[in-house]
Amino acid sequence: MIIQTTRDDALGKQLLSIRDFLLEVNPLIINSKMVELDFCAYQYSPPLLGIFFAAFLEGYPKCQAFNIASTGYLNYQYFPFGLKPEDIEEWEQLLDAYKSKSYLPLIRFSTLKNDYATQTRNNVISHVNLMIGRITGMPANYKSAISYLLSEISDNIVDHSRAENGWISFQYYPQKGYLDLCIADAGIGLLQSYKEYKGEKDYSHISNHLEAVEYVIKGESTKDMQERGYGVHTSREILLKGLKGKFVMFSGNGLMIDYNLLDFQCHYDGTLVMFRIPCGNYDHNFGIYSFVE
Amino acid sequence: MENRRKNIKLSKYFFNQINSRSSIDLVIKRLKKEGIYSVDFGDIDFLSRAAAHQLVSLHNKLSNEGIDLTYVNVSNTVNSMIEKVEKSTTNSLKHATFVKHLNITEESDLKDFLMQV
Repeated sequence: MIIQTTRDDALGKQLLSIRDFLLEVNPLIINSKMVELDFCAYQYSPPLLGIFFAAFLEGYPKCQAFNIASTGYLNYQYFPFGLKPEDIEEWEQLLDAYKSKSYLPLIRFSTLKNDYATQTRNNVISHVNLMIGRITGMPANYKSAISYLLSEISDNIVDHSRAENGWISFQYYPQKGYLDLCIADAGIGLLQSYKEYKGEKDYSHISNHLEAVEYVIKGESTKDMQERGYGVHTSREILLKGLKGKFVMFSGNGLMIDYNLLDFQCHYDGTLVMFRIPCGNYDHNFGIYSFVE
Repeated sequence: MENRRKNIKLSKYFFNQINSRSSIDLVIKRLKKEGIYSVDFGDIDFLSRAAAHQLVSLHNKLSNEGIDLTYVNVSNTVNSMIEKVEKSTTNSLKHATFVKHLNITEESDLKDFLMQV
């Protein structure tokens, strides 16, 4: 199966690429022992497609990738296996080398909660924020927004996805005046997280992926501690109302674009979140704390 | 008594941000019962909401275990996040949770919608 990409950074076009791939690959996964994915035509990797294929390959070991370019652009992106900071002592210097580029490598962070993984993950996310600030030149109040978005969604992956890793991808488009920041996992997805919940709340009525996405937005957390469940909807509000950006969340067949929830008519087990954030014409009065609840 | 207060400098473990609940857990689990501590936020300029919530929730639990915890060198931004979380403990109503359901069933309609995004 030949994997296609697109140089068209229109969000809808990239989402349709993902949908076309899933519609073709899912029957093959069901009916075959192994599925070969040929990346010979995959010369350009926008962050949404890059993170999707990286997380997909992690989550479906039955699918084997080959013909991935070992030099040039994809190599700098560490596509498709990602840069794993826990395994590289000099990860900070590696990331620093991207300060003159418009993108960062695909980052694959561990979701383990031991001290080393926790400290590394925390500091990698901090350094990614720092690099995004350096690459884009955005002011401090916008950097705080990036920090908020990245920390809340990555922490959800650690707490809920049951995935071994989370993924981060980033690209800045200075000519077009925006950046794309994506976070993904190859975990159990939002619906399964509710189905596996064992606690005092009753989530038995959540029966499909669209409902699961909706309940996540409404802040219904599968963790019993009170006052949880704020991360996703406040991230969305900061992005849409504060930053005037675009929000995408995809899990199962549930696709949320901004405030719109629809059946994507294809299926992905894990979860993918994307933020498209305008850069330039910064509002000095913007602050995340007017959105944080 | 204040001379026995042990300083825990967060920047010893983390760069300039605390980004997760597990980061807070990493620090808190080092505290001993009946201990007296200052959590030093010096050089920390961002505390995620999740981390702030973990800190506030555990602070109450630690008090019950006789652990005396104060925060020092807290920046305005970190303080804002802690205050927001503390306020949400008395009012946990969530706003901004609007969802608009689009009933798109035809593939052509789905493609048309996505091409406008």
